[in-house]
Amino acid sequence: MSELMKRLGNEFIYTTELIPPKVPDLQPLNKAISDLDYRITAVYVPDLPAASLCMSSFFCSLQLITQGVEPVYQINCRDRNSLAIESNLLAAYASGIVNVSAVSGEHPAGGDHVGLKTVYELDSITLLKSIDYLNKGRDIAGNTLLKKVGFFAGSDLSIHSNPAGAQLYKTRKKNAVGAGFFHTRPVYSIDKLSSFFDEYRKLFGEDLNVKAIVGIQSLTSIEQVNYLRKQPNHVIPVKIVKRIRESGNPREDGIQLTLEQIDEIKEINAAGVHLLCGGDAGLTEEILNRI
Amino acid sequence: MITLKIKDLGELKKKVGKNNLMIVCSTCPYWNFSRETVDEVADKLNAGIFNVDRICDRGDISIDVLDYDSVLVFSCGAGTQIISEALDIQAIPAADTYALGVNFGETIQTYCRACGNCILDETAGLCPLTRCPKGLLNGPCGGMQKGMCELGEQPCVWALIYRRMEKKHNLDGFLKINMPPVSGK
Repeated sequence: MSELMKRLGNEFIYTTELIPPKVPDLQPLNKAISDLDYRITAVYVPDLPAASLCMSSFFCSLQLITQGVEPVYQINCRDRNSLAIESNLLAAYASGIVNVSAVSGEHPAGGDHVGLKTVYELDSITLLKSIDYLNKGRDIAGNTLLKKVGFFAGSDLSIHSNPAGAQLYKTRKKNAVGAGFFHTRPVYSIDKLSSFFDEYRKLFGEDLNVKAIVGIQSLTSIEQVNYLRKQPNHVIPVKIVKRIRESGNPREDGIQLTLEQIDEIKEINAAGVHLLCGGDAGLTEEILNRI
Repeated sequence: MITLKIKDLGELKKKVGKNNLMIVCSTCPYWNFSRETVDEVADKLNAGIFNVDRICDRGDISIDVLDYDSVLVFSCGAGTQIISEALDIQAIPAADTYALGVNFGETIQTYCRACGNCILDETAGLCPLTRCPKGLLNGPCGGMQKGMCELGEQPCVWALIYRRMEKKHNLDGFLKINMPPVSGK
């Protein structure tokens, strides 16, 4: 059983992410791992994020294990077929990886390998189903495994995409095939998040908040805010933009904002917060110190 | 019908000689393009046109191509293969072949990728495998915004499926898990 599994729902947890570096050198990776704060329950390792070249999430998750840190190993469905994914999953479980996040994977149109041949044999839901199969001792093709695995599987959650109903129904499907936790894309309006949870409860009679680890992007400058506003899934309310723009100390105001958001997230009984600090270990530490 | 896109003519010019023949199938090229466009392609490639009625129905094609520097084939990929084998030549495709399209007057949109695993009865009659750039089988990705695909002007097919199911009071159908062929389903 992983720490994430043990703590989720029992205490308010903090996760963060480790973007695999794009260098054939272990030093930057090991430095990033050694800078991680001890109060983080698990570290999310994205699989070739933005469809751009970097080290593999599998390898980086193994490095985290080696250094005593618990990973959330993300697997996308864009780059591998079901056989290759299951093969990685067997090796991952044998190596001590328990938390796996299943995502479909960003389209390569926005990445650094435009024209890439994509796979998408599975999607986030059928990947979750495949993991559920492995947990029950069989593979997707129906072959029996010699030994069951015991993954704790989760996925991502997009509350800004609309029609919201389509996302709500897709989220229900993820729950139905065994998603135990959800990392949300960056959320800037807790009211919006709360409404999504309410809608979900109304439709399906179950609580989503207890499984949701809410992505909070720390804002440190107006340049960063302006950049993020142009990215998909970063819906930043005008009052936040104004606050950072007019601030004499945007980093400090950004930290204040994150702390306020964490309080609001606690009030709606979400499972925890996913701190997105762009690899700035000092910023993560400062936020955790001031909670 | 099969969707075709004319290859880059500059690149094609580098592959052909001065005196060429372009064998044109009677069906798909003229469904995708006007006769003027087909003539224009042939002109730019210094090629005469030889029309063949439905290349895919023909196992008996015999054309004397000895006098030509190069032979182009304007058809789907199957047609180009038939010509290459029947005439024992290395034919040059004039177009790239895509999946099955629907003609909306101004535009042709791809609707079916001929995958051999039709699930249209599970997806409100719209094909997510073809009309979603990721081919997702179980709902929209997080990039869907205001019912549009994150990649451009086209609507997100999963938004369309959702709305059709909502209208027909069949949203329970949305909850069905669509598995890929490897699962035996």
